[in-house]
Amino acid sequence: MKEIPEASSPFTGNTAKDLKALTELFNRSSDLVIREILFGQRRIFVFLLDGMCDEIKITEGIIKPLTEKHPHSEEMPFNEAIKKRLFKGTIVRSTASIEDAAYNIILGNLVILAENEKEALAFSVQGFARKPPDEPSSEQNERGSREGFTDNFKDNITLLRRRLRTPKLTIRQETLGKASNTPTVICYMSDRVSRDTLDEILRRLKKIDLDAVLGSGYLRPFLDMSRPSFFTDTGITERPDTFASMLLEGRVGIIVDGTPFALIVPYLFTDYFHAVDDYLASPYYALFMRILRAVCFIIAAILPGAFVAISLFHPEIMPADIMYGISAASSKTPFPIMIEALTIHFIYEIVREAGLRMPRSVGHAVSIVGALVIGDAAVTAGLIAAPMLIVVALTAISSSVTVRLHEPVAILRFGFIIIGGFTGLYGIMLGIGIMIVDICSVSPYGIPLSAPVSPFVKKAQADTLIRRSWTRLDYGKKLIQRMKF
Amino acid sequence: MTKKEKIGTYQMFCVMLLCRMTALFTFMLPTTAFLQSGDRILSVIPLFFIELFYAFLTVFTLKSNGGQSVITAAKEISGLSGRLTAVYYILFFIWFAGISVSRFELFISTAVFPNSELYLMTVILIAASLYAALKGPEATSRGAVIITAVLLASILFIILTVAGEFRFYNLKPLLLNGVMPVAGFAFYVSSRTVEFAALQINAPLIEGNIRKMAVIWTLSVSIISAVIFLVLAGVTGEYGDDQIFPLYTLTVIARFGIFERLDDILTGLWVLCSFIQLAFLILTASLCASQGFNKAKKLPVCILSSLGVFIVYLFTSKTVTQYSEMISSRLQDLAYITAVLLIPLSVTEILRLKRRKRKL
Repeated sequence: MKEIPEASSPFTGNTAKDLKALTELFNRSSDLVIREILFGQRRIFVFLLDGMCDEIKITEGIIKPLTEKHPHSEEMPFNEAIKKRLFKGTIVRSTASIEDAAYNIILGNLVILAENEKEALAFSVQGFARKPPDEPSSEQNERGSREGFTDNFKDNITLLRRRLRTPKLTIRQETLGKASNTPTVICYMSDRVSRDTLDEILRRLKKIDLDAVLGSGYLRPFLDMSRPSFFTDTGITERPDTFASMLLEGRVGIIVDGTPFALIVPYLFTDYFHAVDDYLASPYYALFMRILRAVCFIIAAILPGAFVAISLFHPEIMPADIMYGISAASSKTPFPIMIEALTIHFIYEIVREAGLRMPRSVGHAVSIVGALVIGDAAVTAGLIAAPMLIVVALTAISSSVTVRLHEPVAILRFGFIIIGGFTGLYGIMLGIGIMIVDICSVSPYGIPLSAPVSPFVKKAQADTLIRRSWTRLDYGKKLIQRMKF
Repeated sequence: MTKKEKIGTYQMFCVMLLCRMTALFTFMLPTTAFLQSGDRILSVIPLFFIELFYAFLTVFTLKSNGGQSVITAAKEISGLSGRLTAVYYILFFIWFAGISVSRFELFISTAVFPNSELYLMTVILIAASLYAALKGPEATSRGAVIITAVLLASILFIILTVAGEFRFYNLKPLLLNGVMPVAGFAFYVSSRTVEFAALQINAPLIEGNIRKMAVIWTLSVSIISAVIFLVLAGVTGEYGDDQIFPLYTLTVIARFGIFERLDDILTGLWVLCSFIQLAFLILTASLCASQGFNKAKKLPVCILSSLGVFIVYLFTSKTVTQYSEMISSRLQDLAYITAVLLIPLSVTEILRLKRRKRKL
């Protein structure tokens, strides 16, 4: 874990030398602003990075008092006098080394170095452009909050504090990435978190030796405890309310500066089928929605493979009319059904990727190309059978319901198509068996991913498939530690 | 944070149940052909007592050996006896797994996909089971719990769909050939599995009351067997007696709404059960190796065990016919009794004498 710079080069008191050292540390970067101000008879130097500071704070809170007041007296050292008399309301930190001063400048602080002083002062005046909290793009909801995490970690902490107004909410800040020095915040409820889990997470974060941490995804491989698996131990959310509720269950949350996607550790498989609306709607509707999401996951992963397997090996399973319809449609296409399925799903992934990456202005064009050209025209031209297109459409829609599972599902889907195409339902069932064991093999921080289903935790069933009424449900009853095995 | 390789009693219960269900799916053989379909239901009574006997024996020997496995107990007698016991159990589990795969192949080739690539399918099954085995006992047993839930729900569904075809007159006549065939069938069914032998090896991994689990398992297996035999006899009658896989025949008869074939449900269940059973047996074989030979590593042992299963399969796949099954089933009875009865009792007794001698 890096890095508060070590005090390797202390200020010498020789202003010219210190100025040169500090400037050279930034390689004469053009956005490094250095201003010289006369403070009584003394020269002081102001350092900041252009665009990282709030100009009003600088003008009104630093420059104006500096140029108008002269608090210096002989009894008190210069820096002490400035800190105590001049900037009573501002966060001021002393910094004795050139590297530390540079680090403060990088963070967006303003650093003042007075002539012949062996200590600089850093003023918290960060004021870079921030994106205001917006609706979470990947976790839309019907009745819940419209606020999502932002790219700025401090804003995210504020969003969290506004939801958990308790001193038990503990925030620990670390800095990760040798070059990026990314502020990373570990959040937990001190009275609910498992100390073992927390210590293990901190130990793993300390081991990170990356040059840069530019997103929460960088940390996931370090936090994943399991052996290679399709499924991960860590969850992602951009909703402060979801994040807060997870902390209340005794989990640990990690917010990385520069991304609205916060990590949750440990994460369970059943969490993928939960949404914030479940807790706002009536319990019977929540149950229905959870079943729906689980079915969608199965459809998204298995349906294309099962369709290929049934069409090739077990058409007798289907009612006769459907079977004849599918056979008639497939007989008109030039490709074997497995190749057809693989191709059309590959094209679907291309369209999806294009939808994610393309400029929004060309979105309609891609939609038209995807829907009309690839869909309608391919069927009309006899390249793809219409039933296959229906299967792809259903798979794509189902995949969007459990969007957090898209990564494993997209890969598993291709696997199921191939195995279904070669071995029929036999292979599909084996694939399901492997998938089940694979999910069960992941055990983050002593809590199996498959809990509380297997191992079965009776108390946690209040909010697993069914969601009991709030009159009977409270977070204390489903602390994640109770699922520890 | 250290990894804990323990499984709960209910997880072990599910693994053992899946192993038994795999055997139940293929219970019909010429040895039992002279047994009337209704008699199979009666055979559950002696079956229950035989299983209960094995259960108590297993629990007794485990308790006498201080909860350690039979191999570890044998090792306490002498290093050589420990290694020999380990070798016997490894071979027993591999052989049984190979036979199971052969039976499964027979099912695939005769009932489900007569024109399929059998070797490819078998290799895939063994490879998948190896993968599951390498994921560890917790993963396999947790998966077994989920599959057991699916299995029981599916069996219930199949039973409900064929309930309309149930005829009481199919159950008669009872005990037409006397009591002996009934008892013989019960013994035959009980010795076609490895559950209690596996329990002897896996006991140190299990957390919870093994005695309670063993009794509940015996009771559950008897009830499930009774229900399946009852439905089978009531629905298929004499027709079912001639089938190699009567349960499969039952699902062929089953209908649900517009779906006229439910046999693929059974095929799917069988695949899942075989997958878990095979993974469990490979794991148990590797556990035997680690208990008997200190330096045995899990990965190579699991791979070698899988290879062993494939070799046994190659030798037995073409001979798992009705006749050879008769011969191998006698051999299997002997091997099973040795694994469940003779070795554990002998080891327990010798160890007891040795401990007493040491005290004196």
